[in-house]
Amino acid sequence: MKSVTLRRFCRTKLAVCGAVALIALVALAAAAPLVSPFPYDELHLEDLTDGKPIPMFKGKYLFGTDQFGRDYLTRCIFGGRMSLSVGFIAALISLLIGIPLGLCAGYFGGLADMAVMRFTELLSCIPSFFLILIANSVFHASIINVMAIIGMFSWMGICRQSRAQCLSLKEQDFVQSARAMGYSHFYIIIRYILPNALSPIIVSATLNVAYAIIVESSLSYLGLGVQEPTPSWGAMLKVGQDFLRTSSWLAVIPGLLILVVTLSLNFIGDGLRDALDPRASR
Amino acid sequence: MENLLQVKNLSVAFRTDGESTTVVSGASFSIKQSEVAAIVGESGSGKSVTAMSLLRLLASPPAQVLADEMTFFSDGASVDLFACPDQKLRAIRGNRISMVFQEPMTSLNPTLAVGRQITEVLQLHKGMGRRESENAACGLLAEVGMTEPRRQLGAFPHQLSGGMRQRVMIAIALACRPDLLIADEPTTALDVTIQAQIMELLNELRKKNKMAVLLITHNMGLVAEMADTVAVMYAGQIVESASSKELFTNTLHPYTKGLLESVPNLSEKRKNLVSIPGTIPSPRAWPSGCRFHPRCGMCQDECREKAQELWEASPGHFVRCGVQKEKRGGDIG
Repeated sequence: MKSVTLRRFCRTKLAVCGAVALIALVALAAAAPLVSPFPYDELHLEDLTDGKPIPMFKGKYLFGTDQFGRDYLTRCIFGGRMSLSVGFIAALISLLIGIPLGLCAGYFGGLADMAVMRFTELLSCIPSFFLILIANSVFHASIINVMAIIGMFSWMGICRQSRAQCLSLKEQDFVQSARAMGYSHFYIIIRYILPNALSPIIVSATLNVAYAIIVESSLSYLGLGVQEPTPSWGAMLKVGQDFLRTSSWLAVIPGLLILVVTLSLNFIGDGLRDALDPRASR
Repeated sequence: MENLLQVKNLSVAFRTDGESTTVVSGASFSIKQSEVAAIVGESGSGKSVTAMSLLRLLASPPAQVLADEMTFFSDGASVDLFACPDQKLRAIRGNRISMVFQEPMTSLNPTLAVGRQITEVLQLHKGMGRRESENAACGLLAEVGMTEPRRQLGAFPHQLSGGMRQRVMIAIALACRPDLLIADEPTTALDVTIQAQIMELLNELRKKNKMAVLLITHNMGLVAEMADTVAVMYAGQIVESASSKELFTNTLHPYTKGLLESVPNLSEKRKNLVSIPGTIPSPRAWPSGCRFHPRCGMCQDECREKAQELWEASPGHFVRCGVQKEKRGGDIG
């Protein structure tokens, strides 16, 4: 079963490319202190001419430096560390909130369903980026807060999907027979419904990671996310903007990185959706 | 022999869009220890709903179950299945009363190895440890006739055929050595040769474990072969009930007669298959009077108006047919 899924996934070229790119970037980010040539906050003011950023491929700086002479390659790698971990952890938080709420709403129905779904609708009809913006300006901007806030305002899709899965699964014969065997509701949800509901949820979780990375970048771009000197792709984009005419790579590189990661995640999500779809041809 | 299950006046209604439809009305029956009781009827006659309501498996709402009595006697104690708290009922489900469903293809959890699905029941009800329950599961798989049981423990449902899966379902149902097994059309989804094997297996295990079986089926041949007592259901009512011998030799209700006549028989020369004309009425609009009258060959004016009561034609043989009662009354008088 697992290998069939893997084989079908591998047939989608874009998804494989996405997976390779993502794995490479995650590996780089994870090994950041080992692979980066300089510390991310080390200034090389002595190498600057007229206080201008050093261009790419010049001397020992592969991606050049920013206006303070900090190695840009190093900052990209460490920035990836920030952006990727925000993405994955925020998505994890949204799963941890969305799945239990959705499964309980779907399984128990009635009043519980009503309450959860109305709350979900309430949250989804307010543009979540503005909620995140407000919450983020109220609490002090630390990386942990950014992750938590993004996660807390992006679980609604997961919740709705878990509920829908649960609604169809609970009518299945094997759930009925689990009830006839005397299992408790909690046990049935954990052992009989969750594992069978998981594949479409995994697909939307990958898309949630991409969403969280974009939100984090937007927040940092607006100066509300990760604070200097810690790099993140969004914050680097913001700094790069000031040098767009003279040193365009400062904005182009982090922008490209965001693009590659979110595209990869979307491709992976699509590939997984096709691979996990039981109705699709082999 | 002593009663194991006693049901009096069981009624099930489904409430949809504020409208209540009665699917089972006033069913009473009892099952004695280690006997096979069969409930027979066409699709839609309410036999599966009756079985499901015994373990309170119907979702409520929409289902509304009413009963004067629904008592289960186990280990010298009696439990009121109708009113006991959920927790107590869960301790009975799968443990003292277990169920085998119609569809082996979809009744097993596709994400768990079959071994785990058996050990889980044992761990829940018998408090067994991992090792112990694994050995027991292995024994159970051997008992239901699986070859290489040790290896099959790790198999996933999609790797097994329909007959194999039904064997696993039976192993799960038998794991805790229940007093009563409810088999809801256990062989309908299987092909004929496998059907015979599975029924033989069930019968064998029943004798060995001294277990009672409530067999829900529409297959009269199966009933004749296995059942000790039979209740025939039509349109949500029990129309005839008797010991199996009595029912087959002295059939009284025209519906039961129709069912028996429609069983194909190789020794008779018939041009066409015999069938009962018409279809089972909808529970939203049961016919007035006797519910069988629109399809009945013996129908008289009275049948169209007066609802029929069960009456005892001979000791233990109950029939819901007024015409037969008049005939019989005439005979006796």
